[in-house]
Amino acid sequence: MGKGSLSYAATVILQAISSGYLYGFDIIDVTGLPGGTVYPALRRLQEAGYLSSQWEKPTIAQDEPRPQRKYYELTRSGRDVLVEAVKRYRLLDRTPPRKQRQPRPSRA
Amino acid sequence: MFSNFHWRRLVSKPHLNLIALIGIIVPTRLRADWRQEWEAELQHRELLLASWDRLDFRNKLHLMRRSASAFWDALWIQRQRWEDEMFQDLRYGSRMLLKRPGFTLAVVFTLSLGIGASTAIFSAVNPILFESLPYPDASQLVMMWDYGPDGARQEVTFGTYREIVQRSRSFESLTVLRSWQPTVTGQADPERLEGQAVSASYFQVLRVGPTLGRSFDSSDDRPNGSKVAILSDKLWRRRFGADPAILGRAISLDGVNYTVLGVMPNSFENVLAPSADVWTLLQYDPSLPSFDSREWGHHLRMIGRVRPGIGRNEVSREIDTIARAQTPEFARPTWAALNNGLIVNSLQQEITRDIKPAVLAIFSAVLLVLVIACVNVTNLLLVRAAQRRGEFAIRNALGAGRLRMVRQLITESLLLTFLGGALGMLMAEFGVRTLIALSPPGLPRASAIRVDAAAFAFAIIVTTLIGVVVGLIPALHAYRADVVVNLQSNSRTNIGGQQLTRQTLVVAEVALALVLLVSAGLLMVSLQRLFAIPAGFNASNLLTLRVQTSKRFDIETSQRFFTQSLNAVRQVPGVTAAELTSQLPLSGDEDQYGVHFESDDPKVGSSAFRYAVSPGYFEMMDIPLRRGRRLDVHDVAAAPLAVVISESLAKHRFGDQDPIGQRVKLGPLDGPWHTIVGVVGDVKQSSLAASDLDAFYTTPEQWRFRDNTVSVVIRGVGNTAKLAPAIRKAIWSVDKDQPIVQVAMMDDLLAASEADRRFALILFETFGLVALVLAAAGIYGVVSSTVTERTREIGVRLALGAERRNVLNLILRQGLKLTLGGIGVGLLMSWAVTRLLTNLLYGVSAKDPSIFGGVAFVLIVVALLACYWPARRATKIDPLIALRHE
Repeated sequence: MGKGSLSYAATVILQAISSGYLYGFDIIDVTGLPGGTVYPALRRLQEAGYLSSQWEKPTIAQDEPRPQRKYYELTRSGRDVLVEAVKRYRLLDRTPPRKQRQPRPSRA
Repeated sequence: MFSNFHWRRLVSKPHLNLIALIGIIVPTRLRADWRQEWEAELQHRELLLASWDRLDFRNKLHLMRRSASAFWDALWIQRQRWEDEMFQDLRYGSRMLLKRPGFTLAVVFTLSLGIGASTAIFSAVNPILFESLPYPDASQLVMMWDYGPDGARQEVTFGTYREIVQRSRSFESLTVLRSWQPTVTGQADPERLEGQAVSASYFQVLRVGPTLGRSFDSSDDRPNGSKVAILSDKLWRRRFGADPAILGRAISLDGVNYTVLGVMPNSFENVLAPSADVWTLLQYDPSLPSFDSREWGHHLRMIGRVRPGIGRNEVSREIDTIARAQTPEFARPTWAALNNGLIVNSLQQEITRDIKPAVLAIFSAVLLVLVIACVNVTNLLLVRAAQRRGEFAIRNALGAGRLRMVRQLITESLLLTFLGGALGMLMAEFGVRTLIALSPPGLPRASAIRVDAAAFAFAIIVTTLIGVVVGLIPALHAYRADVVVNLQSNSRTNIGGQQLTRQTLVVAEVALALVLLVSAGLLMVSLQRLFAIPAGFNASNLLTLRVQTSKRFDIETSQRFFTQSLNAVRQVPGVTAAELTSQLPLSGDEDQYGVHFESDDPKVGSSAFRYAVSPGYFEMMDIPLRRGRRLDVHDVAAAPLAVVISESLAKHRFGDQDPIGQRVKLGPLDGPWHTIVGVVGDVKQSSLAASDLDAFYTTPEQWRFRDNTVSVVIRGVGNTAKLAPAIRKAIWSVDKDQPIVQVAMMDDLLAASEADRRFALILFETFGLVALVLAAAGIYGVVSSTVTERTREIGVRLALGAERRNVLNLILRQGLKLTLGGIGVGLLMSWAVTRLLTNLLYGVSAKDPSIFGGVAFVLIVVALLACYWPARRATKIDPLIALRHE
């Protein structure tokens, strides 16, 4: 995936992650994109080296109790490409709001 | 991950079941992760909305829709699955191929032969048969012919061209042209050039123009117009050092100064005369002064560019209408009355018309070779697949799907064919070079023959098709195979289905090989019969030099030059005899004149080959004297006019009567009478196959026109070819400005006269031989594998007292049965297809029984030899070992 080819959806997703929405359904909720778009995009971004991912420990999810989460994180090149892309998609400046609660991914 | 009870409970829910279902298409190694992620998403959704049991219908639908969207995600991952497994298949396939290098090499080599040969031939065939000519909108170009008295194509007259130009509305532009061989003189050695004299519109019709300078101007295309020439890039570089200052300068052609107008681009391919290096204007008189003028001679080729949107049929109809409705404005002589209209055909078809049957036959032959190669490879793959039954059974038992195994087999065969294709491309490159070297001189568009993008595409498509098709047959066998039976696989297992396929393939292979061999046999016999025809003279060790004199020479100067040259040549050490002739037999010369005997009605008359020869010519050429006397040194200009005629002409006109003393007019009727003084044996002039043998001979002094090209024919001691440089020097010692345009051994000219047939024969022989070897390999393979499969059975037979001879017979009989089956089918096929070769055959029927029989016999012998080794192996089987054989 070349830098120039970052799609609008991919930019929104990267933006969401950089704003602290770190796992699948959170991203889906905040971006309003369907799951069928978000998951493939997450995989593509990860393969392109813009994201890294990590499953949380099952015990944490059990304690809550809630489904286990897979946390995504921007890599350095992910951050660079996001800055570039945001410049192109001006409207993105306004979305989404910065997330207040920031659960860090627990290292497994 | 799914072990804890909390999540297992949820699997029962339909939206999660849907995820589980879609998950099937996700590659196994990614599936758990994928499912967990999606299930987590849906769980989360469900929790947000409340629990599944408490959800209303609309929310349930919403959740279901969400689950379905996982399908897109799964599809995306699916792509990776194909890539992954393909890679795995390739790796596995390469390993399998490397494990059996003998098998791999056999397959790759066989395929490369087929692919290489067919790609090479395709490269030659493509420009001839399929590609359009190398001009813009080449499909608009048509060629037109008049009808000769015998209904055959005849070149048009300038008068007809003028009339069509004026009356037809179908053409954007029209042009006429004829060949022109001027001699260029100057600082360098004199040299005869190939060229064309054309009407001013020539390049405009082809839509090409010079890179340097300008094209012809129609204002110069009239009698006494300025002498102008356009050069080919090749000539410009070779003779004029690529000097751009050549434009506007004069060059001397036939002793006349021509101003150079332009130079054609290097890329210009002149399909009407591929070796033409110089063009000038015809400069005929458009006012058509009289019927006796050159404007009404049938010697021009006419090309037209049809207006866009007008079809070939419309053009033909319009030309027909014009031909039928003669107007007073355009008077026509009887010989160009256009009573039958004109032949209108596309230029592409006209140029390739003569060679097309041969080329199609060769292309079909090479495709047969390709099919045989494929059949052989299929057989090899089948044997290989049979050996691997156990392996596939195990993979199957371990859970590999059948589709997966089919894919594995196809991957392997694709791998093999691509290796074969790559090697084949190298062979094609080499083959094309050989083809060009072997190609007959008249092969159209020879310069366009190369392994180009089209040939490359052809090879790729053929290779892929072969890979899939050839792989499919063993794959289908594998698909049908029964796991349980194959797991127990051993020599007792019945694999009749596969054997049947293999036997059918061998029968097909033998049949196709027979077709090729019969074709090669027919061609070979044709060529033998042709070369067995006496040419009418002794061609061995005869050196010929064609000398041209300047057009400025008058008849006396010219004759003096030739007499002096002949004397000079006779002085060259090693020369035992040297004579002159105005045309050389079998060299492409076809100089014919009308003959009118005194007893003939002056309106009728026939034509005959005309030779002006020095008196010793007949003795030196070993042309036998039948009656009367030969020409001799007394037949000089002042003596009574004598003529010697050929046996065939004498027979045609006088039957059993004695022609000696009869009088005949040679050429135009206003000429003098010649008296027949002798009859000599027939000589083949146009080709060995030709039956037009009427000819007459005079001495040069008694021929009233000037011959500006004459051949010197030389016999000498030892190899006369070595005398050529000394002879050339001798001729130039008389006049250094007269070019020697061709030096050739008569044997070579004779061979060249049948170059088309020889070319076809060489290719057919090669293909036939390859087919024979492949068929033998096929028979060997099948018989050999049956011996292996029947080891146990043979062992039992031997143990029960069968004699070794019986076993040998058993195996040979099986091979023979297959061969005979193939021969039966092949004979029927040959019967049907050899008529395609009719044009190339001579003196042999396309259904010659001795050739059919002979080829069948050869195939049987080869097949028996191929069966013999496996059969001998069968007799060597030790019953004790065989019974334990698993």
